[in-house]
Amino acid sequence: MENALSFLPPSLSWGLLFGLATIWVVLGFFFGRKAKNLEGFMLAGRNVGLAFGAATAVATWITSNTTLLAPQFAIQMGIWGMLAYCTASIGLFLFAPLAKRIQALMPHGMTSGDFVRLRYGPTAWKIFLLISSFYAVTWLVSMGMAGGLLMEVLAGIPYKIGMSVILFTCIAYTLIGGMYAVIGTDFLQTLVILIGVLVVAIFVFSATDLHVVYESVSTERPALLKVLFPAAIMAVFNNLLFGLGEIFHSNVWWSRAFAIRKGLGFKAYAFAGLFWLPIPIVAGFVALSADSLGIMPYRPDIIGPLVAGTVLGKTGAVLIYIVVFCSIASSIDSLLAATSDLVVKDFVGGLIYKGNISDEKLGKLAKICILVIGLGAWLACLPRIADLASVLFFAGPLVGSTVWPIITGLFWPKATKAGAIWGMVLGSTCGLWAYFSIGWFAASLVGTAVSMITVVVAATLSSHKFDFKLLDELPARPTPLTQGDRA
Amino acid sequence: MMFSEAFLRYLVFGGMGLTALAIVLFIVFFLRDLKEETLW
Repeated sequence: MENALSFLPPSLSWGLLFGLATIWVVLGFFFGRKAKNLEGFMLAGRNVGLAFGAATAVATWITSNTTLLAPQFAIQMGIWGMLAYCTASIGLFLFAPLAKRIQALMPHGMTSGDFVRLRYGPTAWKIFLLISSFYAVTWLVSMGMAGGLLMEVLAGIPYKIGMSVILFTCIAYTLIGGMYAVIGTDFLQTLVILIGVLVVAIFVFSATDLHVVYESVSTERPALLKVLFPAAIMAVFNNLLFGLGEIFHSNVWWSRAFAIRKGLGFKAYAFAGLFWLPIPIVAGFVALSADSLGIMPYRPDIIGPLVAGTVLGKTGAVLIYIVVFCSIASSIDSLLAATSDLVVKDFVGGLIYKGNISDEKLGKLAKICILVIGLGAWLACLPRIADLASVLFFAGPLVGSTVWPIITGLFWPKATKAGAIWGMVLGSTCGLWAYFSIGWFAASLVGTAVSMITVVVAATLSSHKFDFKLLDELPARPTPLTQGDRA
Repeated sequence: MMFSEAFLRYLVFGGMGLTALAIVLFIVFFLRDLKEETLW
């Protein structure tokens, strides 16, 4: 089958696909040898250093969207589009103080569900688990589908085969090595992505002139350079709030805060934010050069690979292929590990076994869970639903409604159980109303705002003060539900 | 009002410079953690 961009011969495409898959499985096996017990498998022994800690956050947050949607944003919304995508790094920056606080308050914590259960009790915990699982599943399935679609567009590999190879590669090494394998491979994937994107940008920069790029854009599409571009400015706020909600609530980020060595949480997330920040700008610049390089007409969703292939030929296509593979794999592996932790620790250990389950059994269940979630995601990806991105946006107001219960729960003793429950319920409801009545761009904003008002009003009216020391009483195994209702 | 060419230049150079710095610092952090046996 010929590939859509015609830069990669089929033999090279297939070789790269199976070559990359083999390399990551072997490396995952190599890194995963250290996983000897439950804490090792789920949290890499809670001893991850700065290099691996910052890299795993960067790799997870660089998805296929970052490398492909950022150029699309630039070509459709210009400089504001590049800046709008950059705001996603603010979530990483703002999670830095939260990571520090999480490490200080919960030295034995394992999931974000642990925090909500201990801080706000079982009702808030169950609502939170529903929101968090819905988000994790949609993100995982959207990444699996993106993998299949991109392998088809970039290399001519049939959707089902490309999607299956990427998904099963991640399932294999996550299953073998747990968090050790995820974090070890994330470090290498981060370096590959950063070097790949930089090399492409340098070659594109050498092939054209920034003055010519500016002149072409100002002549062909002057709107892209406008300071007042309403649609793009709205995208800034939506991206910012959606990103905050995604990071603050998701166990993907909490599990890393627990895994990073105590005292390094703030530094690791601050560096991750700084190192992630330039990627949408560099990728956006590659797209903006399209006009000056005479690349017309084009599809906005593959403008980045198209420019890279035009300037660097086969080398550029190979580079982009590797970058895209790594960016998808680094997100899928993290989602598999963190979602399985949440399901095993909170759903199985907490809701079903009520805390009466051994670490050994939890460890076995964690592996089964990775397999089941991975197979479930694979089945969900098979039908190739075209508009899954809109389902992910649908999760925006839901995750937005968790931002304030998380922030206030960590820092404000007066934050209450009722405020958290109603904040999530009203925030999600009003946010979904805005999604259908106003548009996707307003949904996260409304969900987050309503939740904020609810949480703050409830806390202000309350005279109760939570004792943060209660968060430190979490044993290695899940506590019974009856001990959770403390707020 | 339009973004100026100089702004675009700063943005692109800044982005590429920061990406290069990120690569260098990741390698430095890795070597330091490796030397001090604090990788994980």
